[in-house]
Amino acid sequence: MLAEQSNISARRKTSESALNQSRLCLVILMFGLLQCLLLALVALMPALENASGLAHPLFNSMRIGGDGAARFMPVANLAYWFQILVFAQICCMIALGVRPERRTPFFWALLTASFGLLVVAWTVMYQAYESFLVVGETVMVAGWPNPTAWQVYAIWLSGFGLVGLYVFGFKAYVWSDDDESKFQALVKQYPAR
Amino acid sequence: MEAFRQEIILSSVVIYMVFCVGVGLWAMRRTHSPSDFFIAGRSLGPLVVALAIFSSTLSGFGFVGGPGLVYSQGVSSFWMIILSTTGYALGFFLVAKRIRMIAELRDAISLPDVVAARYKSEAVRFLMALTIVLGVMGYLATQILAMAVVMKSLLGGTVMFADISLISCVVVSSAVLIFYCVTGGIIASVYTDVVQGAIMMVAGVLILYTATQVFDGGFTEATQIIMQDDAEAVMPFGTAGVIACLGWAFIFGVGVAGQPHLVTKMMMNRKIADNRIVLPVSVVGYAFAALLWISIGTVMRALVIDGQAEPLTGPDQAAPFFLSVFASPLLAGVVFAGLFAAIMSTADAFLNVGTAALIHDMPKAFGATEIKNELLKARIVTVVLAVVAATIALVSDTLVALLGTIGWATFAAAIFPVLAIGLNWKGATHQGAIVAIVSSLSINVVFNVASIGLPYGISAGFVAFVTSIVLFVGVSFLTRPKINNTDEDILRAMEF
Repeated sequence: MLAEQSNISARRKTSESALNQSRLCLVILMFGLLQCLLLALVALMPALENASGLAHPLFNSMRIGGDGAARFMPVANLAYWFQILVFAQICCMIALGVRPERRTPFFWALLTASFGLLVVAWTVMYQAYESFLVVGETVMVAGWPNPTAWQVYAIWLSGFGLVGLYVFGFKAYVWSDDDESKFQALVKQYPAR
Repeated sequence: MEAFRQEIILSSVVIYMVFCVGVGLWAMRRTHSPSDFFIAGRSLGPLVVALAIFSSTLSGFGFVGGPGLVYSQGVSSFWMIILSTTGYALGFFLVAKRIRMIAELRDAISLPDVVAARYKSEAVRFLMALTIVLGVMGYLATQILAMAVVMKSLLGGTVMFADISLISCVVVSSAVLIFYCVTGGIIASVYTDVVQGAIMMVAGVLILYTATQVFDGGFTEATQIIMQDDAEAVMPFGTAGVIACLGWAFIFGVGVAGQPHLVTKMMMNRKIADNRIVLPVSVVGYAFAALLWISIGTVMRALVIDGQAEPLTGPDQAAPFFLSVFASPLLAGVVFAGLFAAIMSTADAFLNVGTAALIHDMPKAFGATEIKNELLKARIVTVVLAVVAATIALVSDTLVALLGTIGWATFAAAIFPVLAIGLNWKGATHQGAIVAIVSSLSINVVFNVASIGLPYGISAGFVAFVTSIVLFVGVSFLTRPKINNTDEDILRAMEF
């Protein structure tokens, strides 16, 4: 009787977990569809001469961007939200890689904080670039113009939030000592075919 | 020392190649089975796996093409690098644990083995193997050609080998590659990767330092010179524009977990717990090595605009020119050895996954239950594959270009959803996997062959990748059976 109840409870847990994963995949699908929509909107826009650069007037193998505002402003909002969707999709996929029972409120808080880091770095870089296009001036920070410094240092480094989540949350969210012993038992139960 | 510049550079490269041959001979004694040949018997330590993963990522393209792209297009190509940290983390969360578990449960030795076990479908195995073989031919051909071109330019500077032909360079460089791959299989490949990775990291840091010394005002002066010529070139989206850059960021960031030569290495570690060390070491190693990409390209663009250097004949000349003029002979020697290291570490990884696809996965997809003399066949096919790729590289620019389209973006589009999402979601179906692989191959090939261009630099690979994720998940939802037919052991592995 007890064994049967524990079996039923295990099956219920498994089906709840599968449902949970499917819900996340539905969200990933929604983000993907929105990305397709944004890309389609960009593709339907009238093409500008310098949308993807022009040949440099003096040097053969170089290209220039030309009038930055003219080519950036028409797609600025679409591009901004596309990248936000990408970050959100990445975070949902990371949640998908963690067993549903282990997605504690603390895990969600850490994942949201990592997402926040990516979004903040992206948004500040974007605003700095838009501000440069309006004003035509910027300051130099550690070898780069301010918007590019945000790109090179902040966006690159903001990914370390997720690396930190993996490294420091490894035993809690990825692979515990208990998992190792359970996996060895599974290997013994199903000898390699 | 300056008087012996050429000799020092050549000696560094020769020492490196002799080292590769030595590792091949050493590894031969440790290679007793197909599992040893293809996945090192799942016996590698975390540092070895970490260095092998990042050094395979940054191929010759990173050392020559990368600086060339910055020279040519400004900051745009930084987007290929800066989301790598996020991409690696995503790959480890989604793939590293599960692929290693399935490898052990099923004694899997290749990526198609893993997906065949996951989807219980030989069609998915076949399509995955086909994608890998097509992509590998393109990658190998370009890597072998790159090795030969660099070797020719090095030897061309000496009196003795001034007239050496490109064919001779292809033969010499391929011979070294084939030797250590055939004798030592993946064991030789990963141990050479360790040295290759270390050289690449050191080279990246030293070149960054050298680049900051070129102008009195350091990097700031270099970027200001570029800015005065064309401000967009040093702004976050460079000359290529925002949409093209987002495409690169998506393909190279998210797509890391879809590269067969990288994810196969996630099957090779001794313990799953080692992934906790592998991820940070890979990410940091990659970041150090990528400094070369950023610094050389930027400084060379500034030098040419400022009139301190003659305009380059082609963007790919940026790195060789910088090294020959600004780097000390010893540093140039290290970086040229690093360049060969980068090319070889990618080429050997592709040779390995391509061989596995041909002798192991294709026959299995067509019903072979047991493959006899697999180790011997693996060694023979490794030679054949390298020779065919070298021949393609020499005789057909068109074929190289066509196969080259099935590169990083196609791998990302075809493999990422099937592997990364599929290993974590029981609802994924083999129909979803088939549609994702076929659509990504079709979109990439059709767009490139028909030269279909989209506005704002939207690339075929970008469209294929975004679409394949949507199709994979969407078709899986539509074709979900009432009872999951995946084997019990795999389903249980997916619950960890």
